[in-house]
Amino acid sequence: MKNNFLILLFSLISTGIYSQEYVWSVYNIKVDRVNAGQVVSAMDNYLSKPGNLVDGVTVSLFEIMFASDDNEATHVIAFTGNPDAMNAMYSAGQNDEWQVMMSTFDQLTESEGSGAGRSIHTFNTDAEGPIHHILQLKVEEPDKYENAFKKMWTNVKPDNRITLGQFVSGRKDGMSHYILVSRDDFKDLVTQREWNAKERAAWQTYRKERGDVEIVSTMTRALVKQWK
Amino acid sequence: MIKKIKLSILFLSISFYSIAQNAWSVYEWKVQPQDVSTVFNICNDYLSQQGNVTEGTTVALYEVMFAGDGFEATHTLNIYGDMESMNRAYSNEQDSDWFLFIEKLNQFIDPVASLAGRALKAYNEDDDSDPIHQLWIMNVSESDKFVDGWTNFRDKYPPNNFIELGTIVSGREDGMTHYILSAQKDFKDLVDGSNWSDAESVAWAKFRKERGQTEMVRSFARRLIKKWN
Repeated sequence: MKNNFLILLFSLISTGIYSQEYVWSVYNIKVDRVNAGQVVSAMDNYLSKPGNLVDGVTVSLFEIMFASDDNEATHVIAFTGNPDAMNAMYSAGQNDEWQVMMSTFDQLTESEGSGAGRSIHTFNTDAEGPIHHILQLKVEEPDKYENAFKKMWTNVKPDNRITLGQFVSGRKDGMSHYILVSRDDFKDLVTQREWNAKERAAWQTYRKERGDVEIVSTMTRALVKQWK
Repeated sequence: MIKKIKLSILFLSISFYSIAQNAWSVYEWKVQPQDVSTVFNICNDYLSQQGNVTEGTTVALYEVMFAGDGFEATHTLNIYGDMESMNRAYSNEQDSDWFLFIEKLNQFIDPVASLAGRALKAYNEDDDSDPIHQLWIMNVSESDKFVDGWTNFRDKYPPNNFIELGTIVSGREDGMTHYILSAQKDFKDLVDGSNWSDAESVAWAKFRKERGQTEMVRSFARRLIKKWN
């Protein structure tokens, strides 16, 4: 009986950990900032109607705040959800309302690439801010890196939500993984956390154990609107 | 009494440290030669109006003087100030004048990149009289080691001009992590070597040896066109 209870408890905890993880797809678009309002309206008209947004999928429109010179996009449309919900979305047929939205997009936006991937370890999901700072990484030894990341943020509670994830499709410049950190505002973005001795030691261990890694680029995006 | 002095010293140290915690953002643009004066006028018309520059921040338009191959920008628009003011600037709602400003600008600029970061340590930061900025953009492997070493060196041999060591937070590429900015009065000042004493040269060599692995990603120079605050 005790064993069964422990198994049940373990299973619930495992599900709880897993449920934080998600798969995603992103569409990078270039839109004249004065037309951004029309893009929001077109998305709002489509996504606010019952049945047009697949249950379990969140759609977010972000504006790019800062990005390096190889990034042409001004906005990002991100779809996130569990694998089944995302699969249902990509298997669903497209209706007339979809065509209307896409027609607006054709007139106002330029495509600047797309990608898909999955999260691996997410911590502190409750502390989600409207700004996403993303470090795009080239990781030489994924297992080593993922274990070191998990150990680091299990020992040290992050201030905000932090996710390590992997690019599957749409990769370039050698990038394999990403770290997404949510931030509350500009000050939170550029201010460094004050580390105590234990946290500094954990950081040094993480750096030592993670294997070779290169930051390919960093970028920041701010949430414009979200539908779920 | 001694305690009060110690507290004052601590307070002053904290205040000085806080001053160095300025934040900045930079928008890099490519502007065609025939459009430079138009871009300047658009910036000047908008930024000269009261209330369009957040109090505590400065907006500065620079032209790029020298840069290596691959650096596409011809101009940069820099926004900088103390952390709270910068935060306010990025928290403000944007009005129709701002949209009009952006709409006008977009006809004459080609956005290249945008970055944000913060200063870690600065000397003579209140002296902004020198119009030329030389920047060294680096890939620093061991930040604490580098910052401590550089600060020790500069504390011992304080510069006469405005010099700042900082870190790039967003918009990074090619491994860049940190920068050193040195303000110069003119071209001669820019290209003249430093007349260091023997002791200073020895201290610099020591810093280079002890700073950890560091790679120079790029260096470039920019010249102030106008600033608004």
